[in-house]
Amino acid sequence: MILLTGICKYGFSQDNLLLGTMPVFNLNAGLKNGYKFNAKLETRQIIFEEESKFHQELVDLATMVSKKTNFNTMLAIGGLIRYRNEEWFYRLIQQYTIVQEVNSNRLSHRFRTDQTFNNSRDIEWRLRYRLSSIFPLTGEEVNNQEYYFKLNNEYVYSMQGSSHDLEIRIIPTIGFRYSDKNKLELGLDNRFDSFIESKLNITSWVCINWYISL
Amino acid sequence: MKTKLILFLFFIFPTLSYAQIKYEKEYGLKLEDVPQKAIDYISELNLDTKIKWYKEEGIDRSTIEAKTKYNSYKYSIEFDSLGVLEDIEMEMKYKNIPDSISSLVDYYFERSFDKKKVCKTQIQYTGDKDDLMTIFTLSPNVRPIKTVTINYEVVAKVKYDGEYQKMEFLFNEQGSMINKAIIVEKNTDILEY
Repeated sequence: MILLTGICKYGFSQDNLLLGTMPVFNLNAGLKNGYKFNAKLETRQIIFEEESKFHQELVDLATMVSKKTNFNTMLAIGGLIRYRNEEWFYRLIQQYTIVQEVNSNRLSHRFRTDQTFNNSRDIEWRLRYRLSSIFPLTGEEVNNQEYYFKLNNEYVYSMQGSSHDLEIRIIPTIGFRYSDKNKLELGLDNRFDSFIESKLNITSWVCINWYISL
Repeated sequence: MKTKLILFLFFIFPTLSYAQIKYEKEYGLKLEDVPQKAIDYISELNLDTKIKWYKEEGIDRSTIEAKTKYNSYKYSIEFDSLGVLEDIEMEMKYKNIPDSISSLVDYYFERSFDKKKVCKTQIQYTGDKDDLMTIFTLSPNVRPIKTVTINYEVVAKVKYDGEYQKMEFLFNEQGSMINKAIIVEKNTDILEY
């Protein structure tokens, strides 16, 4: 974790220049009767943002339970707790994933809806679709001790009170599969938002993800 | 009575019978790393097609594979690590398994699993290396000489007792399942979360 939190996140937007860290720790475990459990811890620390100095932007803890509904599909539900600017946010998440095999490689379609609750705000409703694909950097498929390239493209439509917005995310990532249960990724999280109601905002982040399975 | 009991158990609990675990790692091989014996055999075939070489590492052994496309069919010619020919496989559609065999294969799946989805089907030829060469001179619908043994390899995702599993099955020409293995699927957590 020391290594992870030491990795910098660098970002910029039309109005702001951001420097910070965004480590993500992802834990997966099998449960009884074909159920699976996922816990995700994500923190973001702003190292530099215009005039402000280092500060913790947010801490997220999400947990989900999933089950296969068919050979290639999975249904998951869960929740997230977020601490941001001395406020607590609570989110309910519903997820449906289709994982396809294409020439020994994998492609996934992830459909997700979530609802975020906070005492002083309207409920935020979001509808998300993410397309992910993995490409081996050596050989025909990704094996242990090999690098891979992952590309995520996500569309996030949100509604809160009378406002609504669309955010597009493009996240190219380089990953290393140490073993089937241990993978590390380093990528650039590009977010394009405020498409609908105000001027376009572009944010790019360097992110790191660590996946562990029990 | 004893035979009947065995048959009864065989039909009632077919999926509980022994299945190997199959974990394979396949990667490309440079020609200089391929055993000369295997290269010589492929040369003798005179296929005049592009050959790609792979090494397949399993749990307890590794094999060398030459893959090619010939007359629109995908072939996989498998050798042991020393270059001795083991078998030749040709990719085919599941529905093209001869009716007399596929009815028995279907029956096996029906009685063994709640659901199945076939991912890949191959016809597997084994026998004398010279006899196996004749495969490439015949139409895929024509059976090679009797000394060549034909099996059908079916990779399928199956559902049994609420669990989903990817498995590889080998059926002989009489439609009997002669081998099966559970394929260890790779974790997809990086695509889900």
